[in-house]
Amino acid sequence: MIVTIMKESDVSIFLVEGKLDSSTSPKLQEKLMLALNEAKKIRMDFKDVEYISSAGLRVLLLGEKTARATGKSMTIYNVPDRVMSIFTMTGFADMLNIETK
Amino acid sequence: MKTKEKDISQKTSLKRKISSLLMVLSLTTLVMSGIITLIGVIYLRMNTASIKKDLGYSVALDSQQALESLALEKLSILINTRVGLCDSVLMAIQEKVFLIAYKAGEIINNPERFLPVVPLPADERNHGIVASQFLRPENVPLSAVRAEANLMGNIQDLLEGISIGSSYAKTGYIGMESGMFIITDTGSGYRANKSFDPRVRPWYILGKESDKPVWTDVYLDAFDRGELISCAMPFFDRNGNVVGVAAINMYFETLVDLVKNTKSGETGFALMLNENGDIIISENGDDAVVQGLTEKRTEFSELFNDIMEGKNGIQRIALDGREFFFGYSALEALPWHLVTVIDVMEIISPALNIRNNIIRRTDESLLRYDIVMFSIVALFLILFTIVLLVARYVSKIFAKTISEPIMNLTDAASKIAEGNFSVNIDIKTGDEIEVLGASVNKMTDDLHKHLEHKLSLMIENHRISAELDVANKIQLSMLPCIFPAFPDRDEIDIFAMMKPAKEVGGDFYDFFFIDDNTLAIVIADVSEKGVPSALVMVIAKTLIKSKAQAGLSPKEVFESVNNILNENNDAAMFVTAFLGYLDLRTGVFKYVNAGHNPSVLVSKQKIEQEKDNSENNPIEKQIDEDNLHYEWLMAKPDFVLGGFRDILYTQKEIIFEPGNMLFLYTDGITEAINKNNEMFEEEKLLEALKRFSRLNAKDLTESIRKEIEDFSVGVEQSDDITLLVLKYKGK
Repeated sequence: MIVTIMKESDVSIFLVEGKLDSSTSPKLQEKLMLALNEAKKIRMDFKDVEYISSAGLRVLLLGEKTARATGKSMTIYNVPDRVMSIFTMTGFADMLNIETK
Repeated sequence: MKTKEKDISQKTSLKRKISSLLMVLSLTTLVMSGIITLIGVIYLRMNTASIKKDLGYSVALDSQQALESLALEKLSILINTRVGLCDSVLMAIQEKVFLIAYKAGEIINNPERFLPVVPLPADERNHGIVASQFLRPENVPLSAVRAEANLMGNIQDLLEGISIGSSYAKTGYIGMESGMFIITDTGSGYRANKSFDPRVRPWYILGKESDKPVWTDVYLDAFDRGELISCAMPFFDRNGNVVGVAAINMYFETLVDLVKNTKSGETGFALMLNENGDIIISENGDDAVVQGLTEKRTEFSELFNDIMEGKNGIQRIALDGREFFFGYSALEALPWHLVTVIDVMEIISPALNIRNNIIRRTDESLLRYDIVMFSIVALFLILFTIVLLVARYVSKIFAKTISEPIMNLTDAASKIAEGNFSVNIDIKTGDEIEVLGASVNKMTDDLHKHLEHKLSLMIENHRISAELDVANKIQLSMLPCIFPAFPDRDEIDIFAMMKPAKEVGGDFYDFFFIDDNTLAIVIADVSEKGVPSALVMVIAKTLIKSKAQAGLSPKEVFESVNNILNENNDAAMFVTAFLGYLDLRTGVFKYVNAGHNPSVLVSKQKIEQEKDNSENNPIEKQIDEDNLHYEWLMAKPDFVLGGFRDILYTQKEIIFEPGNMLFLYTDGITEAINKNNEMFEEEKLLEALKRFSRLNAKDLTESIRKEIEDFSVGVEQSDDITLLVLKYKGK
């Protein structure tokens, strides 16, 4: 997994590539938590995410919970169908801010 | 280890190598310098030899030539001076003879001007002093010559003057036609009381015929006083007739002395040849030369011709294997030739001596060179031996100082290898070995710490592993694991299994009766794996079971459990879960799904399900050859448990017909990965179910599990795998 972060004023844009599983998620978690400290808005581009496991989902949940607790926002966009179906199946689709195409 | 040390201890040891190297280096240096020095000396010797020999010959030749030319010059000067001397002596005598003859002529022709002087006969008492003596032949009476004698007595003063004042003309005399004879010299004793007739003497006979001073051949003195020559000249009366002859004796001995002195060097000598080429004086002459010249005249014709022609010159003549210089010149006063001879060898012998000296000295210096050379070789051999011994000793010590620390290091290393970390290497050599020793010390310390750390980690790991083993057993024992689970209930056939990816997992299943006829089934998947999820799993399972057994509906159970799980869930752990209640009498099945994978429903005929666009339906319903329907159990995919508080869950309800089967699973099945990194997927699951759906719950579970194992062969299980099969048979 590769995470590229671009900062535009108070917005941090995450470009996430590859697999979000138990081995890669801690890295995303670390960066996400850091970004949530600094930026008001987190935007995560999931265009190149191949797969997300429950570990990845947990990081997103953690991010969402943190964002909600601190009055910030976390948005996910460009979600591939495959990842979207996981979001749907787990109910995450309703709980996260997901921009549909 | 020990045997290895012994193996290398001799020939290949470092000590040996270093000492050998040092030996070779020092000896090579020595040998090289020795050879260079030797070559230098030999070269110098050869050069010196040739230079000195050349010098010797060159100097000898040059000096020989110089000596020869000097000798020739000297010879030339000598011969000329001697000839001049002889000539001047002879000339002086000639002049005096002329003077006597003239005076005698004056006296005889002018008697009126002279008083009678009575000449005295030879008196023995006058012997040894210059005295005039009057002699006459025996047959001439004194009276016959008295008058003439008294007149001619006037010549006595002149004769005495000449005799006293001249070096060579000691004896002057006159002889008259009358027979009278007056002579002046120191030899009165020889003539006392003797008679003498001058007219028969060679000088008189020769002189009478001449008109100027003339020299006689060698003849014997009338009074036995040896050989002599005389210069004679006649004097005349007024009519021009010879009246007498004046003469001066020159004893041959005097001439011989002159010639004798005409010699050069030690072996040189002089010869006098007369007008016929006869050797008339050869005093002290080399017999071989004299004899050779006399007997082999033809061989020296060139020399003789030159001599006899009165030429002046020097010739180099070989005679009997020797070489001589012949210098020659003709006298003027006499038709004679003075020849001086000198052995060439004597002239050039100094040059030869020089040459021999140089050669001898060269040989001497060559000998000295040889001695030096041998000394160098000897010195070199001694040095070689000394250096050999010293180098051997020093290099042994030196090598020991190098090898000993290494041996210490080796010992220390083997002790360290045996696990003795208390070894402290103390090397103070001040070189790289010391640094190495310090490094080994540090390495030992680090190794010790590292090993201790490793050991503690291992112990810790072992402890954790043991604990996890226990945890695994506890976790598995928490799940219903006795099958058949309900042997007295014919309505259902239920089987389940859970295989964690790690020692403990986050998946779980559960089934239990809420009341006599209601069976609750649960399958859940806690986010993540391992211990954290196992802990959550325990809570979730306990909560779900206790809430369900408390009489809550599936929806109420999940809403309650969700809120409880949300408390203090900073890690955002969540659980996807499915909970269903089956009424065994009626076949009514109530269920809720908290974000869990959709279950598969297998039925003999189509079962009515509520449709909802948002419902979770990954694959279209399928029908197999036995007309069995395979479809996804529709459920609104509500949010996972533990995510957010106050989630409302949607409860659904269907009615099971006997023969229906429900297949519950976690994503460990569909997301199982094979070698090609492909997922198992729902489609393959459905295919497998079609094949195995007729088996009983246990066999079906095992078959699906085997299918997954076959698919994932060679790949490590990445997620927990949980299966639950519920077959409803009805009353």
